[in-house]
Amino acid sequence: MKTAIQGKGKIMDRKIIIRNGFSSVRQAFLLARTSRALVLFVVSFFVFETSASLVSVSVTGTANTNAMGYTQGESYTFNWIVNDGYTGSDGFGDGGDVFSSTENQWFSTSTNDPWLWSSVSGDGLVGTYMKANANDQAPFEQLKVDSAGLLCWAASHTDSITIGLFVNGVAIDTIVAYDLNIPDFNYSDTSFINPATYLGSYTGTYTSSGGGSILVMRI
Amino acid sequence: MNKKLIISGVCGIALLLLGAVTVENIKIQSRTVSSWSELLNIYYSARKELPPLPLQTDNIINQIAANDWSFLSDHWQIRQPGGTLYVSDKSELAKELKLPVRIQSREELLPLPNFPSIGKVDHSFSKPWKLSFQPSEKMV
Repeated sequence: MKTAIQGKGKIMDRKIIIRNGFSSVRQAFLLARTSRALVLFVVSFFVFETSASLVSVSVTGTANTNAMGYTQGESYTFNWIVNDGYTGSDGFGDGGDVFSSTENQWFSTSTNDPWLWSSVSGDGLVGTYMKANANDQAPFEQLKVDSAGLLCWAASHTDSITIGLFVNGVAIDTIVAYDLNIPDFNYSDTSFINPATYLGSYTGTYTSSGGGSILVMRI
Repeated sequence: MNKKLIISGVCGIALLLLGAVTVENIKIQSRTVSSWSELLNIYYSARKELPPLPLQTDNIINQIAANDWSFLSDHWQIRQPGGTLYVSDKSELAKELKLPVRIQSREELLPLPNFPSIGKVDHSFSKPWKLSFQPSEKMV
């Protein structure tokens, strides 16, 4: 299967169509009749853009209440993509980056700070994430690792300032996942480390061992 | 609004204002690729997490024999958004691709070895299979 995908890829009008086998159900069932093979399909989409080394944190969980269009008991996934160009906070506002024996924290709370998140997205979220920039107090982007686990936070710290995202037609100002427990996290860097570089050494899928929540808050 | 306070003590009133999700798993993954092989690794990794296709297969053979293709529904496919990936500027892949570009892959999944002969069947059915490209489809 892997060879087939590699061998049949071709570029068509800026869209690369990788076909492995059949372009239609008709073809599939014609084959089914002759080779007794039943053919099913998986469709996958990827979009490519240029950059250096981005890392995403995807968090999946179950809604524990009916709110904002989310249904209790249903599974939802939210994604934070780290800006690998983050070079550190100037410390204005709520503080800045902290690298100590007890925590690693990247904390962009000033309009002068580079974006910590290049993208934030997830089920039910509509729009394009934009770091709050209406005033110096508005930005609130935090990535933190300490004894409580991993925290990913994208918010506006000023009421009525949006972050470009909407849920069920309503603007939101906060999406945060916290107490994400990942084994063997080392958070004792004592000097700045690029957040993408840091998270890149922990790529993998982890099952929550209890605890961990995501909050989506509207303005 | 003190968001730290809200997070430290989520209460009933707060739940009326927000969507709260209890975390089940966390995935940290690189979103940058430098080669086709890296892309394929991401693709195959994502495939492993797909749920089984929710098929009703009991009566398919009889339906095909009766030229009844009504079972061809959306349940016969899984559309899996792969998200946005990024290409390392200095990679060979970056030289090959004119970015941004959208990639769509289709593949067959599962041969069933004991699928019996279905005899003479007219394969022309009125509802052609469509896996149409949706420009507005959410990617991540």
